[in-house]
Amino acid sequence: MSGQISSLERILTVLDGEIPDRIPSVCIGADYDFIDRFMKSPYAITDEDIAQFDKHKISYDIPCNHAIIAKFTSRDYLPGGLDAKIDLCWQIAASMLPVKLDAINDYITDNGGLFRIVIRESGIPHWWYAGPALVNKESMEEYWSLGRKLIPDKSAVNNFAKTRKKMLKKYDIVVAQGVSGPFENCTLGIGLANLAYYSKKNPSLLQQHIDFQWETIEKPLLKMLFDTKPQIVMCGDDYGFNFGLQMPAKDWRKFIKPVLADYVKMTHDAGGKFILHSCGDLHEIFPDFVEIGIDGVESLKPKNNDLKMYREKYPEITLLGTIDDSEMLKYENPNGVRESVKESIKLLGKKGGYIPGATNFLLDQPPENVVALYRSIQDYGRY
Amino acid sequence: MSPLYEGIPAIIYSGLWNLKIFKRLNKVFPEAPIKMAILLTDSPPAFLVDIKKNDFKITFLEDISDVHLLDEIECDSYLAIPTEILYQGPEGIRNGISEGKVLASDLKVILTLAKITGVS
Repeated sequence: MSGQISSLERILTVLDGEIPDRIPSVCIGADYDFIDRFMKSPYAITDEDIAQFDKHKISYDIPCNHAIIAKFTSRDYLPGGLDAKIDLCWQIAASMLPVKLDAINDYITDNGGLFRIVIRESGIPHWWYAGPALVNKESMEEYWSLGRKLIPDKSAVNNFAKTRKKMLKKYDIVVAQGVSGPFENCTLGIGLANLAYYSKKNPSLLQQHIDFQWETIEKPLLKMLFDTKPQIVMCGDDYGFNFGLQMPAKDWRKFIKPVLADYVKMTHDAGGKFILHSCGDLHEIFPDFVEIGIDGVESLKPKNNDLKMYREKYPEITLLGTIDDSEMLKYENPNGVRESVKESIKLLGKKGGYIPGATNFLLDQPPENVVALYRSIQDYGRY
Repeated sequence: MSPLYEGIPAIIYSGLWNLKIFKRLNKVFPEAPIKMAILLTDSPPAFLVDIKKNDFKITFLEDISDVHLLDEIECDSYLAIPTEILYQGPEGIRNGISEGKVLASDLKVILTLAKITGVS
């Protein structure tokens, strides 16, 4: 440990455009399937690990499972650590318990989306987005009338701050504080079809909805977060399909960009750094990210993004993720993973501005490949 | 392929699955075995949550669709509750009990649910 800088210093150095001691790594979390695989693998968390994690009150919540992230740390911090250190992880600020929407006789999350949990025949849970609830003006108006019921829970935000501090102090792991972005909040609630329809046929209604979510959910949550002084905010807002954006760039600039710019400004005003987690092909709006001052963009699947071009054209923005999790990390063997990481670092990391890791939540990849990924970032991530 | 559980039973299963896979069931529930019956009054039948030393099971009780039948179940505690109140968390459940909208055999059932779902 001695002589090294901390993970927080390392991450902030990169986000500031400087060169730290080595290339840091990122992992945003692990879903149920990966946890099932991991806990049946030789790398599984042991009783001794659990005793230490419980003593430190480390979170086992899925998908940002901090126990799994901490297991990858060095033996300096955890005797059973895998020496495949992850420097930066995520924590999503859950804001409320589900609320009933009479218009559809169902329970919605704060953004108006429907989420379902099912237990598959394998016995492994699956919890994911099931569709929009605010599918007409009537349901939107009932949602707006919920008002205070949608306001985020301050005690939950305070608990997240404690978790963040514990992970840093006990395991030298930075937890980026997660918030949902304006695009996801809007589209998970009203759906992509309505977004497209309203942006053309009823832009004032769409703007009213976006303004409501900003004033009722997003701004209050950001204010609560900044009371706890997070160093890094990572906003989840998936703009891309595999090839292109989920909405026309001109509409994104009209409806989404101004709110995203407010997120960034609030974060910077509070002294924090702003990372955007956004899946898919983002090339059309990357210049906008530079314009509004985003510090880093995370995910960046290499098949959907010209990463070399991003690196050369937009040096202001740190590239995070970039290690393909749906094909390479799933189907390669550990040696292939190591070669892929080596190539990525050679291509993107030699001048700083790079924090590699899996492009999304770990899901169905072999655990040995994930261990190889993070060990090789340590091995090859020297300047 | 049909799911084994959906909705509230799936949420409870998911919480117990998390505790089991990380080998924390014993630690969180040292008093196990625990048998807790839950009747969602708007979505019967009842189901039995059976927490053992290192395992758990959720079983639907097809014959138990009415609050008055809860006493017939072999269990340590039971809860009859509308889904909407269950989603309000421990405070909402306590309010529901005092307002007569929720029937609980004892308050331990709320604590057990809070431990499973990680909501306090």
